[in-house]
Amino acid sequence: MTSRAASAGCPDPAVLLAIGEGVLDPALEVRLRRHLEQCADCRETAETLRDTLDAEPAVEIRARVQRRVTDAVPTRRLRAWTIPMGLLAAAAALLVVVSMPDPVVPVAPARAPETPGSLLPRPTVFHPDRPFFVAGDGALAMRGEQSAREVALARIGAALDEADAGRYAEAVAALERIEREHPSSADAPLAIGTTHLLSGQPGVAIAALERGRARATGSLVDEFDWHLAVAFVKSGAPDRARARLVPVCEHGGPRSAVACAGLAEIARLPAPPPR
Amino acid sequence: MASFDEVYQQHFPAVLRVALRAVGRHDVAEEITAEAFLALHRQFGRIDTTQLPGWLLTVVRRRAADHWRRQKLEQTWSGDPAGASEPVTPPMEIADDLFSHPALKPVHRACLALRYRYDMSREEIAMRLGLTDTQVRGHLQYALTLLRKNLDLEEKRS
Repeated sequence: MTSRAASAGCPDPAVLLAIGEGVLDPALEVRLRRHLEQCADCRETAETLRDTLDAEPAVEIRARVQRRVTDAVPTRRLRAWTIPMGLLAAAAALLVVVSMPDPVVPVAPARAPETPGSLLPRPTVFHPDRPFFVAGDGALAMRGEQSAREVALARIGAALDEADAGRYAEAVAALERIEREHPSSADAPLAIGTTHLLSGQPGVAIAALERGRARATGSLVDEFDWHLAVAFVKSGAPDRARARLVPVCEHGGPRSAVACAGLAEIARLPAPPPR
Repeated sequence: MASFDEVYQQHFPAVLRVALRAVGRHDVAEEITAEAFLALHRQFGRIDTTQLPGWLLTVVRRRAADHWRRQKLEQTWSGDPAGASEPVTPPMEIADDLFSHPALKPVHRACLALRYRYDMSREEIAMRLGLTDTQVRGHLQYALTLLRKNLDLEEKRS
């Protein structure tokens, strides 16, 4: 069968985002712009994809790309003299495909070259990041109304913006005020914990996260467990982190992929030295 | 002087964002982002890091242009969109105005549009949006449930 988009003569949605980026053949770009002017579906799809892909990259994506870079470096260095013919053929094919050279390197004045391998630390998924909060009531949002929780979440968002800008003390003070006003809510302590993690204080973060987790229900528990695992890893307690990660990995929620990657990373850690 | 890791952590979000705009899908954007940092790594001892991220973005745009040349898009445009070569029969039709329903977040709308406008499989959607198959299934289920709930509400009100 043919998709609705194909029936309407629409192009691949990915190419819609590339319009105006200077990477398409100019004649093709003119045709695409003409199509876009006439096709409301494509305009809406392009806008939706742009909004989705513009989101801050998740920590597991940052670590995944970093791993691709680190994996490529030692492979090339170690196998420099033992390249099989198949790889040579692949490299030759790549030379044909990649037709444009890298840009000219701006050279820095008088600096000692460094050993490439030594510049690459072990990639990790355990980075502090902004918490996910469970979405508000869709029916209320439809009517343009906000619940008390949504008002509090907006204030928490503003405090987290402060934390992102490095103003941790101001952020924590604002979040503690919100927690006092909503003593039974788990949202504020979650944000307090992640702010302490961001400022490099995993011990204090653990206290706030444990406090909030006792009030959390549903998928918010997984969110607490993920940030607790990050805090335990940062505190040098990978065993405690593993216990938090196992259920998050199994639940299949938004943190599932990164939790499973975290478990794999902990499994690769070297054993502690014997006492 | 900044280390390679510091440079990576600082510039990764901007480089990935430009790559995403230039190729419109996560799997390819991640690939050319990695290629750009690998190219930087090869020349790291000789490069003035104050010139970044401009140098990285130039590499990304050139790789993106190569990507589109390889796609031979002009020949394929009149047929099925790329990635939809094995279309899956959608379980239901969705009215056009529901794709932009205000109760949905961008990621829900994107999953719905790729699934029901372009007949893409969950696996293909996951690759294009940088999600897992489980996340795509969750987003689609959430979006459809929310739409059904809101439609019921609207019907009762009218």
